[in-house]
Amino acid sequence: MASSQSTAIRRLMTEYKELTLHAPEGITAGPLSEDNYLVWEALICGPEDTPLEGGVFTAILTFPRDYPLSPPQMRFTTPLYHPNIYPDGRVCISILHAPGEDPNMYESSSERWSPVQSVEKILLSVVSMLAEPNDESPANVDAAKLFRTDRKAYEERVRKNAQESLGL
Amino acid sequence: MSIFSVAFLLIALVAAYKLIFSGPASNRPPSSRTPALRPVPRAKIDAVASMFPDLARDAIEYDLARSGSVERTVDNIINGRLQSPPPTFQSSSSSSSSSSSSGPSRSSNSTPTPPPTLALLQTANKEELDAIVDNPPPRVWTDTPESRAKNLRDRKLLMIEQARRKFAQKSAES
Repeated sequence: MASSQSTAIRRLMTEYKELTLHAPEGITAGPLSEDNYLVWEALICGPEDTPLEGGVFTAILTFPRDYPLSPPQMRFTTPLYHPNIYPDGRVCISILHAPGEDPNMYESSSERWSPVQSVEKILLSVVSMLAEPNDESPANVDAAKLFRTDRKAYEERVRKNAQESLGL
Repeated sequence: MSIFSVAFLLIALVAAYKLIFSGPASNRPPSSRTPALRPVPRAKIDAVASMFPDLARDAIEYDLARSGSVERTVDNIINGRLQSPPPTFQSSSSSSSSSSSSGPSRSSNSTPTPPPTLALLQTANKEELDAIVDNPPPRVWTDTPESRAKNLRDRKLLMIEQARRKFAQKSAES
């Protein structure tokens, strides 16, 4: 148990260093405090050419003690109206599910969590999820419905999220 | 049977009795097992609540009152050990006639909280923000946790402040 925890922390430290030096454009992430490597905050810029462009969205990632065997959980702390984000901010994408625990029964195991994935890959997946919602397995049914039936109203609402995220 | 074996038997019986009947805390005075509940500083509750905004503050406060440390409480939450406060628990906020939410569920706080980006911005003054935008923090891995934390904070501030300025510029143009 103690050794699996130090594995998690060693791995998270390596990832933190890597992200500090080479994080993809528009992403900043690291532990909220180095006293606890299992809780991170990530800042993600709204992807360009989407209604989220211009916003900066914050999320908390909580890692299990057996990371990287099990995936972290991710929850946006700025409001985001999006088909794949639960109203309470929890993110629902396949890379955050270990193979075998597939609530939607459609994800291929290649895009699931495995120890070769990383925080960086999760955040990149989230960026593309933000840019291209998947309305087949909605976490927010209302958002998925609006996305499908009235794209203009959906984009209007999402643009507001981008503005709110900056406190403007 | 010697007096010693009788005494031993008695002790064993008492121990067994205690083992069997000590189960749920409800049938014993709480003071005998529950550690004393400490008063919890607001800042500690805020710190945990900012990481887990969907948890009821009562539940967070109750755990902090027992653990005494933000880190231990975060551990408890991550490992699913957060317990609902008992009905007898007096949270610091319950006296102000707020909703008494039961269990770790989303708190029904009606006042919208400012986004975390703003909270971060408020830790810096204007001069500091200007300096960060003019002189972007370098991407370096430094030796101490303190300097790494400062670098991370500055890079977050840069992202937010740049986005805000771009936004202001755009809305001024349109």
